[in-house]
Amino acid sequence: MSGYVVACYAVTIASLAGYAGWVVRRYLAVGRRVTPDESAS
Amino acid sequence: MFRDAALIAGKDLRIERRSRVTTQQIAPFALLVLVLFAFALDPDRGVLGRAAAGLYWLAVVFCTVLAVQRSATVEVTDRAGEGLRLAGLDPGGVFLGKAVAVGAQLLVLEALLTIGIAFFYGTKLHEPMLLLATALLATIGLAAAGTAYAAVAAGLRVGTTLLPLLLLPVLAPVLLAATRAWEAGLAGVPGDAVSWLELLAAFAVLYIAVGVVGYGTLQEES
Amino acid sequence: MRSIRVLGALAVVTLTGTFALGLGLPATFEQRTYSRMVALHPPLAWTAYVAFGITAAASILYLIPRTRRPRWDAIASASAELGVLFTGLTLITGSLWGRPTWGVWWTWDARLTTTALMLVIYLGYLAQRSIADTASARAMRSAIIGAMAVVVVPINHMAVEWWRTLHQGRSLASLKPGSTLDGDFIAAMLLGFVAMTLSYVWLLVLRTKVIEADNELEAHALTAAIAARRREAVAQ
Repeated sequence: MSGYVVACYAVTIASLAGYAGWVVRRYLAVGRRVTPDESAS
Repeated sequence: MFRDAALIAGKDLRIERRSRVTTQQIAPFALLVLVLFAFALDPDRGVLGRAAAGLYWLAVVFCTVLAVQRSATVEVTDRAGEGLRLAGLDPGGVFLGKAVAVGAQLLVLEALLTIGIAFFYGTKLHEPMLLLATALLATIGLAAAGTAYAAVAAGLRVGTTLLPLLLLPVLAPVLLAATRAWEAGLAGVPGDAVSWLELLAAFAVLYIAVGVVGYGTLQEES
Repeated sequence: MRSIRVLGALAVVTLTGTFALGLGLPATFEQRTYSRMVALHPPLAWTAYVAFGITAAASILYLIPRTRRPRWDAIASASAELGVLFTGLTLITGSLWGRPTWGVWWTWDARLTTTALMLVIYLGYLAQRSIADTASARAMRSAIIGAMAVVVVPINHMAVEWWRTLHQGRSLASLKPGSTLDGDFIAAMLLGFVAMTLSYVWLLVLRTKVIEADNELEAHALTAAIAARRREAVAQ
């Protein structure tokens, strides 16, 4: 397989996974930060 | 609205006449850019002559950034813009007035730059009417879009560095169209310029409309 | 919250499927294995346009007083960020395809040029978002810039399109993958469209929630700080 194809997939997978990982981690952190009664208001 | 526009344009040009920022800072800068281009593109290889139209409009676009920044700063300093709003001036009129003042300054700079490329680059100005028409349409567009975006960036702590990033991609079509129209004019084939003039006209109309409608919102925001 | 998890799971599954299907595509005569990129590049480009469209729509909804909600601002911001990510990937995958096929990393094709300009426009949008300012001023300013894109992007596109077609005759668009594709390729690409769109929606929902929570915290922290200062002043 061509290195260009490998690079294309690698960059796409790494970027999407990296961004998704970062957002999910932030999202979970935010969920912990906001206490239940605060989020209800 | 037009009466307010005339008032504001008169005010801005009066400020300009007294502060001399355009004549003493931006105009020398414009000529300097022409000289710097000669350093970047070796004059002996004939690149300068062929690229004259593009270099000319690039210099104009850079000057636009400076001119609109100056124009917007005037309103932010001492909160002068708020005074205009309190005075009950129509925001659309204020926008038109500021754009007209910027446009008038740009026309002066363009005249100077035209002499500059004829002098430094040896450009022969064929089809002067086409060149003039292009310059007028392009200037309206540059002044309108520039005034609108400068109002967005004005008053921000890092507005001076933000404005070029916001404004230059927006002005890209003017650079493109005006350069192609001038290339056609300088090469003596004015027929090629027609569609570019149409684009410049569309750009100008569009951004005038956006500015007149949106300027009130822009002022409220700050 | 369960629906978000389901959405995320669907996105991951379809993305994995796209990668597997795309990498398993057969080599073609004129494209060799480069055609495998067809599963990624067009779907990425499509999602980038969707993302910027959503940013513009949310910005306009924020500008209209009747529909003005802080949520539209958060959505516009999240979508612009995702749009920049997807546009960046579109350009990178495109140039990784262009290098072996056309022999160059970059060419001044109309589509490439417009995409690059669009990327810069939204980088500017994100740059002005990160300037410290009051939340409402920032939201208003962002909404104006985001809504302006409705004017800016089409006119840029038109200018660049004329430029390339008037000067270079046919653009390279006809050389793009997608002109002559058979079943396997279409299947992989379609799955790619579904996967990228799902990923976009999932990430948009998460990112919007994070931004909203951040804004809330900012406002909360400010109120708390003012209250603390007031207590301090009263105590003296």
